[in-house]
Amino acid sequence: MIATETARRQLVLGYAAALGAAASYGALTIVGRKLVTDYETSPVVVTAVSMVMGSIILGAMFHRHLATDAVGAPKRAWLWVALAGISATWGVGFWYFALSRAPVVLVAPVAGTHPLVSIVAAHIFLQRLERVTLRTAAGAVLVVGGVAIIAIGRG
Amino acid sequence: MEGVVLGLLAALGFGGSAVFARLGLQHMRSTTGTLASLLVGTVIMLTLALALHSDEILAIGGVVFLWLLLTAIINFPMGRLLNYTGVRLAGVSRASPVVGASPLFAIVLAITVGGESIDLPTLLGSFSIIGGLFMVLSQR
Repeated sequence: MIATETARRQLVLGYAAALGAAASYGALTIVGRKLVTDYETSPVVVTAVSMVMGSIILGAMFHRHLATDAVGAPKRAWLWVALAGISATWGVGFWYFALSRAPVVLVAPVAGTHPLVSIVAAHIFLQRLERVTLRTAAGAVLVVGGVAIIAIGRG
Repeated sequence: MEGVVLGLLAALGFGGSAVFARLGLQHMRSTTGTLASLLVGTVIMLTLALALHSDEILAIGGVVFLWLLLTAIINFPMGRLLNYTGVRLAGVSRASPVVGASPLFAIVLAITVGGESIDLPTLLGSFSIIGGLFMVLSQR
């Protein structure tokens, strides 16, 4: 009973965090566009400099966590988070490269399919950790479809 | 065709990042995972930026600096940290569609703060995103 309640609470907190992330990324679109269009700053410069600033801020806030986890976490965990960082940078790099070669109306809906990539990869590689339900997959398709409609419509 | 391939490669990067993060975050806090992943990405991106735009980086002025600081705060201590926390607590398959709904929030901000108008495709797309979010979030 307690275990179930804890799991439910964890799930609710996870959803709240994910919604917070979505709101942050939504706001980022507005702020990022202002930097790139109004101040004509290169997207690569915006990304690189903001990453340096983000590292400094997060480092100042959580360097103690890094120090304690450095002792407890296995080496493979560091490899996975390093790959997460490389993969995210790969995504940003190809996002800008794509935008330099094709219109945003084409690139945005295609790149917006990333939740489906995550779900397919989770289904294949994370079977031990989590189960992908039909309801989750259908929800993700609706989200990705909605993003595509907006991107094409506003393009 | 080139745009589609490059867009898919971007999606592969964004989608893969969440899966790798899920694997690593089994053994460490979200804060540590976010910081470690960001440090690795920063080295790569900064090298690229210095190689391509070193003049522009050195010429960054005060106002642009403040906008960049705002971008950094929204993107990393907020966006990525919350994203990884969501992935750690709810799982990749449940958190990713929710995070993927970010254009909905961008549109709400663009309309409420930016004074942009809403058109039919935006309305239809928003309903689709909200429906998808409801399906994911109402799941126990």
